[in-house]
Amino acid sequence: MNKPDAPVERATTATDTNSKTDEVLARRIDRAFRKVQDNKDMSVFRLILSEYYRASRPRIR
Amino acid sequence: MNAMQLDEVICHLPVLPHVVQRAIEVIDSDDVSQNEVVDILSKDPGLVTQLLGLANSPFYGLSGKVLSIQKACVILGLHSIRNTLLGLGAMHAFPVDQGNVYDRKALWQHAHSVAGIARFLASRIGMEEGSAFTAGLLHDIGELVFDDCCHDRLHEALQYQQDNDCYGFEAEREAFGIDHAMLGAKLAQHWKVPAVVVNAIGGHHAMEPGSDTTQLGCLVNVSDFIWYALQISKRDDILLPPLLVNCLARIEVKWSQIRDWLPEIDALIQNNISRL
Repeated sequence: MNKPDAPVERATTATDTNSKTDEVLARRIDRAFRKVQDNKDMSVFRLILSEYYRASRPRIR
Repeated sequence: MNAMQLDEVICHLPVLPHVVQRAIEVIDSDDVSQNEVVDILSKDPGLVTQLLGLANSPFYGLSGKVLSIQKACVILGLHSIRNTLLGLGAMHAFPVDQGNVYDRKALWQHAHSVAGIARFLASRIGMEEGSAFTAGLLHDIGELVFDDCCHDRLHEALQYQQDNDCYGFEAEREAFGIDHAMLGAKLAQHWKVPAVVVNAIGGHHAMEPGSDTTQLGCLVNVSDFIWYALQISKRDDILLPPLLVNCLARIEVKWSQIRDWLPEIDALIQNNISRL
């Protein structure tokens, strides 16, 4: 009788790691920005910061 | 805390080390002599070592070039020496290892980083770099005063902050009737820090309509804001402080410039933290 196939563990890919990092960052950014002025300036800065973090993912803990 | 209690607190605060006070007096005098300043500072080798360490830090961009107090006076100038001495004097007055409620090492690391960011921005926009560094270094000195002499009420303030999800300076106003920015300005005034720096310390959280924070105060506010923003990637508990109204316009900086400068500022902070 054939043994049932062992569950295959998918290797963690760079995309997985990036998604997880993005999730962590999104949560932290939401929390950090929760009380600053809700205006155009802050939207611009939030975008700048998100872009910067995406470009420096390896350093995000 | 009423005005009289506040004066009492200020009068009993640690003073600047004698050598620092004396050197500043000489630098401020009309017939200032560089040799006299060098002679005074040379009496405190520990202070000289720290001064040279700071002068050679990445924030000054002179790494390895300032090897003696004489050279520091020539390269940095007496005005910068004065500002640096004030910062070092403050660190002597509130030593890293004598914290009560706050982690003083973390507070001083934040202060040094904000000082470095303020100096970086000042260099890019043509503001006076020495004052920017000193204002950044001393901007939260009021927090150290609370930590030094009002621990019980500081615990209450921190509890209020947690319960109300408000800023620290709002909780301080609730608990003490004054926030760390205003208190820090009073201490700086007591230490005879230049008025431009005193005003910047006092105004860096002045959100009330009609508050007329100086350009240097706006620079400190923006530098503080950038520091917190750059910690978001490392910590879960960051809350960005509010930017003062029109502060970027006041220092003539655009968001696009901040975007371009972020990698350099981030690297500057990392480099600094590893040295402290």
